[in-house]
Amino acid sequence: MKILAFDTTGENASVAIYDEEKNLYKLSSDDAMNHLKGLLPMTQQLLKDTGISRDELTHIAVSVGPGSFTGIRIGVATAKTIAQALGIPVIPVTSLASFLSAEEREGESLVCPMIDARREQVFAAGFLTGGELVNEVIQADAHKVADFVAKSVAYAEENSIDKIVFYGNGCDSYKSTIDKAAAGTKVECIIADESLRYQDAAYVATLGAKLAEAGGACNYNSVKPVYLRKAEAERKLAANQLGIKKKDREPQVMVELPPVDEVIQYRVATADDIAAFAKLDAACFARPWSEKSFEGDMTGPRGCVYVAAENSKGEVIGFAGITYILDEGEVNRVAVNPLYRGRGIGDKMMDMLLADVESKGVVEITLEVREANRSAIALYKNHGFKVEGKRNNYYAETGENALIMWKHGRAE
Amino acid sequence: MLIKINSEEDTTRYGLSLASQLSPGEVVCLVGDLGTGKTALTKAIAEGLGVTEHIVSPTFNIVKEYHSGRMPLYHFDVYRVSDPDELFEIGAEEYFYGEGVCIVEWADLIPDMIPSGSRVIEISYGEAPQERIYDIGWTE
Ligand SMILES: Nc1ncnc2c1ncn2[C@@H]1O[C@H](COP(=O)(O)OP(=O)(O)O)[C@@H](O)[C@H]1O
Ligand SMILES: [Mg+2]
Repeated sequence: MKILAFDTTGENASVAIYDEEKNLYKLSSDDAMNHLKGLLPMTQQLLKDTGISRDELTHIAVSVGPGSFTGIRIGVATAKTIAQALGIPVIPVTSLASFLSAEEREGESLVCPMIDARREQVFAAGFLTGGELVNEVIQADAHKVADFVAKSVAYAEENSIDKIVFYGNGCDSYKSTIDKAAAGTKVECIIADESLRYQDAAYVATLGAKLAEAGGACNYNSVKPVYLRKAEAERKLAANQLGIKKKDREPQVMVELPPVDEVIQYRVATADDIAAFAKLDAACFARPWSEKSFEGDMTGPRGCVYVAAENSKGEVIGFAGITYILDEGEVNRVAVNPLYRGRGIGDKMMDMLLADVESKGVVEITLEVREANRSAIALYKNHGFKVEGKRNNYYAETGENALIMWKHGRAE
Repeated sequence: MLIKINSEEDTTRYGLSLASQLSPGEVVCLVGDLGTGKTALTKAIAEGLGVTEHIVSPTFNIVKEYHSGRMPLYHFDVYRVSDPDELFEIGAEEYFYGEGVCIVEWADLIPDMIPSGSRVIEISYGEAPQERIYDIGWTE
């Protein structure tokens, strides 16, 4: 028996070969989500490395999902094509059950893989070890993550199982949910070590071998991808909402696109600008600052300097601010009315802030910016800032990363 | 924000400036009756992203991909989608949470598929023939 196995349901594709002597060979791609390009070359490489010819292969095992939509299609199609060409059977393995092979297990424990399905949902199942090969005691489905974790803990408690092991990228996205549940139970809740946490062709190969012995191989024709659907309830609920846009907090004023050649004036801001800043901030950012935050900056004890840009009607259409902490400066916010972007207004305001920095003799300036905010990053780079650090999941609500940028003054 | 668009030229100007603000992974929802200019605005955004291919309405294929610009552009028209499963079957989620910009005409028909924090432009007719009102906001 020589099984060739694929997993393309996670971020990194992998290929494995498992033989009758229980040797396991594996290659995985470092390129995230590059399944289409990587899979066949990796397979050829692995056959070459192991000196196994493709005619020796007896089965193709493939992870049929749930997981990455495109990945599943590529993996399943590749497996079927090769099986057909070589005239050998396929062993379909679900990505969730494959985690049963992730570690040696003794006795009864609950294995709970959770694949992030976004919006607080996971594709997940609970498997009880120690008995049958695949004993699915919590049905594979799209679950609300909090419900699923609660269900797992309840199952373990009711059946006197001392240990739950969670796998999959759902552990990364919803670690706090697991931690919370763990704090409220005597059941030991473990998040699998990073080296074991994610889908892997080696798991597919080993479980596939056992399934094949139990008669789980089939003709390539009958292999179907497993796409789990999100919970129906959530879909219906959302569909019932009228419109998709958040309701506006205040009555809106109608504006027109400004003339292309409108003259913009710049000045140092005062506390009188607070209301206008908060309003502009709300138009610029998904998570705006309140008037109170601006007030704290502009009237509080910290050394802050704000500059403002005005259009020909005297309306504030941009602002930028910096806070001084001892001998360092930190750029707080640069906002430009969306209708006035692309006119160099942000540049001009940065120049003003940097002139203030210079006049104060401060040389170290830092700021943090959303990693996805390319136009802001480009603006800061143009003004001499360099990316020097990154904080993962910095913005709690969105899980986005923050880049930390620095500009070191005269020292460089 | 409410914007009064006075002409097709304004639509183009707005689309170009919006394009300069977009980053990979953003979803822009265009909501409005037939003929309000959702496809016209998409063309302007595409131009702003540096897309050189000709943009045609993807009504019959749900999504079209353009790869010639600064970042990939995925243009959806979900008007004819009668069942969310159709979107599921083309892997729409992977576009919405992917590395390109998604523009979705008729996004209000698939509210549950749209990621939170997506930009929404609701377009309605104004008084004059070329006048349009853009009501701009974000999904919950
Ligand atoms: N201000 C405007 N913005 C966009 N299109 C306009 C405008 N004024 C008139 N039009 C016309 O309206 C039509 C809009 O068509 P289209 O972009 O296909 O709309 P939709 O995609 O919303 O159905 C075009 O024929 C265009 O010439
Ligand atoms: Mg259209």
